[in-house]
Amino acid sequence: MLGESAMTKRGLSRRAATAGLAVLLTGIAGAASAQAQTLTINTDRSGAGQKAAMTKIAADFESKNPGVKVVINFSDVESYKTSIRNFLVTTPPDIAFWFTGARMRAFTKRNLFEDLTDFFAEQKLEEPMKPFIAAVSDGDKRFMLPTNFTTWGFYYNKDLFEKAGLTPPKTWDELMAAAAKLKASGIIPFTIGTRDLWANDLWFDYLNLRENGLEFHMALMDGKESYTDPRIKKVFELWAEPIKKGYFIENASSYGWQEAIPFLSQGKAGMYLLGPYVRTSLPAELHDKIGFFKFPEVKPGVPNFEELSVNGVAIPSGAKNKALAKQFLAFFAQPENIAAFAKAGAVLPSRIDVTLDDPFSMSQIEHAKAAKGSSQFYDRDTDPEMAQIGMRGFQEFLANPERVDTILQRLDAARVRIFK
Amino acid sequence: MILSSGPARTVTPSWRTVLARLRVRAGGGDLVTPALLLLPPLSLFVLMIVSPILQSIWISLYEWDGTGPATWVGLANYRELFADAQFYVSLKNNALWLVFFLLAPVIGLALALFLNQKLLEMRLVKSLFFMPLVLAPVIVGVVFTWFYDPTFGIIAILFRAIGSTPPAILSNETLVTFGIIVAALWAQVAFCLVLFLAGLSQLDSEMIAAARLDGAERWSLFRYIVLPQLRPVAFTASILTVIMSLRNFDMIAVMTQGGPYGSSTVLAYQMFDATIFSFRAGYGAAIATVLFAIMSIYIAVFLWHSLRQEARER
Repeated sequence: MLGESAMTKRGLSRRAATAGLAVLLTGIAGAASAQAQTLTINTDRSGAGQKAAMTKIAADFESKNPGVKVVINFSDVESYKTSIRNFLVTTPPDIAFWFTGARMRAFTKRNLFEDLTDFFAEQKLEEPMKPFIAAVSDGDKRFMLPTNFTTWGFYYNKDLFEKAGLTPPKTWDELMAAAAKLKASGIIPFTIGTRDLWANDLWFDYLNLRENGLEFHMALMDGKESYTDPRIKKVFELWAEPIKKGYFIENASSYGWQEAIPFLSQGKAGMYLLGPYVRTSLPAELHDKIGFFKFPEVKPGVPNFEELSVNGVAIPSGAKNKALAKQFLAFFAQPENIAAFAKAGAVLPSRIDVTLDDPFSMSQIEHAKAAKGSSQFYDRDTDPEMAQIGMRGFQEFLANPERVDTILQRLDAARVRIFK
Repeated sequence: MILSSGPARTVTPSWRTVLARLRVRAGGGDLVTPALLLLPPLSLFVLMIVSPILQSIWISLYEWDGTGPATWVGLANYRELFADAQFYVSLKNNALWLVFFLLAPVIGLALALFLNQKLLEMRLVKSLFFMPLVLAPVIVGVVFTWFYDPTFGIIAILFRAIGSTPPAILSNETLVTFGIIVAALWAQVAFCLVLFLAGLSQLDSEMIAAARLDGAERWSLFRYIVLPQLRPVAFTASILTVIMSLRNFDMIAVMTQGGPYGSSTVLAYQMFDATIFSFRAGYGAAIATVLFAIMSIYIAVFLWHSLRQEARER
C-alpha cells in the first residue's frame, strides 16, 4: 500500500509522516529501554577526591554490568541540604546520599526511603557494619547503607605537650591540670572556632555522655528529658570550669572551625576537640606533629561512649530502578570499594573488617570498635530546630558562662514547644 | 540611517495589519492593542512576583516543614513571632541597618562631588572607588571578616601597633551589627556614587554659568543650583538604599551566620534560618510577610513620589 501511493505527492508526504512517526516511536522506545538501564545517583560528596573515587566505582560497575549507564549528579553540601527535600518528592533519583540518624528519620517518617532490612540480611552486612547499624535504623528496620563515618576527640600539639612534660590526659582532672600547665606557660589550652556553631557541640555532647551516659543523652536528644534537669546543670558546671579559668581561646565566635586550626599547628594553642579535619586541613608534613586522644573519663563507672557521625546512602521510595539500585549498593558496600571511597574523602569506611594502609585511620577504626555505644552529633541526633537553638545557646555560654540559667531556660522552652 | 530604518519599516506595517485585523475581530474596541501589549509583562509579573507573594502569605498560615503535609494553624505563626525574642533582635538590627545605611547616599554624594573633576588621573581614582561594585557581596564579606580577625586581621595589627587590645568586632554582641554594616556600606557607597556621578554629568551648565555671573559662591552654588537638580537622583539613591538595607542577608550569612548567638540577625536572615535550618517553612513565611509589609511602606512612598513627579512633568 505504501509502495503504491509512493509515487504521488500525497503518498510521499504520508510516507514521510509514517517514517517520522516510526523514528519518533523508536526514539521513545529507545529512551524507555535506556531508562530501564540508567542508574541516577544524587550526591553531595563532591570534593575532588570523592568525586574521582565515585566516578571510578561507577565506571567499574558499568563495565561489570554491560548495558547499564550510571549518571551521577554532584552537588555541594549546603545546596544539597535544601534541594533533597524537593527532589525526593518530585524527581527521585535511584540512589541518594544523605546523613543518617535524626536527619534520615525525618525522611523515613514520611516514607521517602526504601526499606533495606532484607538487603542487609542478603548481603550479610549486619556484622561488619555493626557499630553503624543503629544510625541507619528506624525502629528495627534499616533504611540506609552506611558509607563512612567520622570520629571525634582531642587533637593536640605533640611538641607543646613534650615541652610541658605532659602526656595525653585520661581523666577530666588530668585534662584540667594539663590545661592549667599550658596556660601558665602562655599557651592557649583549647582552641575552637564557633562561628559556624557546631564545633561547640562536641564539648556538650561528650560531657553529657561521660557524665550522664548514652541513654540519658539520647532521651534529651529526643526531647524526653529537660534542659533544666540537674544532670544537665552539672554538665554546664563542668564545662564552665575551663571557660571561667580562661582555658579557651578568646573570641571563639570570630573564627570558623577551620580558622581555629592554625593556632594548634603554630604552637599557640595546645588542644582542639574536633574531627580528623584537623589533620586534613594541614599539610602532610605536619601530620606527625599532631596527636590524638579520646575525650577523657569524667565520672568513673560511666562506660565508654563515643560520638561517631555516620554518613550513608539510601534508595528513595520513588526510585525507578530499585533492583538495579540495590545491585549498585551491594557493589559499593564491597570492602575495597567502600575503603577507596572513604580514603578519597579522608574519612573512615563504615566496615570494621577492612584493613587500611594508614596507621592513623586504623587507630580510629579501633577507637570506634572500642566504644560501648555511640551517639552521632548534636545537630544530627536532635530535631533540626532544637539543634539550631541549642547550638546558639552553647555559643552564648562559651562567651558568657554566667548566663547559664537564662540559656537553659530558653533551651527548655524551645524543647517543650518543638517536641510537643 | 537608511540601513537601520529599512527593515524596521517593513516590519511595522505587518504588525499594524495584524493588530488591525485583531481589532476588527474583537469588534473594533481600542482596548485590544494595549491589552495585547500589556499581556506578556503583566503575566510575567503575576507569575514571578505576585503569585509567590500570595503563596508565601498563604504558607505563613500553615505549619509546614517544606515536604510533608501542612497543617492549618491560622495566625499561630504570627503570635509566636511576636512573642519571639529573636524577632525583636532582628527588628532592632533592621532599624540599625536602615539608619546607618542612609549614610551611603551622603558619603556617595560627597565622593561624587570630589571625583567629578575633568582630570585624567581622576579616571583611575574613580575606578578604584567603583571597585566594590563589581565584587560580589560575599567576597566583600569574607575580606572584611579577615580585616576584623582579632588575631591576624589588619584592625588587630593596627590596634597592637598603638599598644592597645584589638576589639573582636564579630564576637561582640553590640559591635557585630555595626561591623557588618560598615562592610556593606563600602559597596553601597560605590553604588550611590555611580548614581550621583551620572546625575552630575546631567547638570545644566548654562544654569551654573548664569549662577556664577549672579555671584553664586561655592556653597550657595551647591545648595541652590546643584543640589536641587540632583534631587531625583538623591531620592532614588536613598529609596534604593533603604530597600537594600532591608533585604540584606548575604553579608550576614558570610560574616557571622547571625552570630554571636543570634545577635546580628535581621529579618531576612532569620527567615532563611527558620526555613532552611529549622525546617519551618510556615514560620519563615510569616517572617517574610512581616518583612514584606515593612518594605511595602517604602515602595509605596517611592511609587507615590515618582507618580506625582510624572504628573507634574506632564
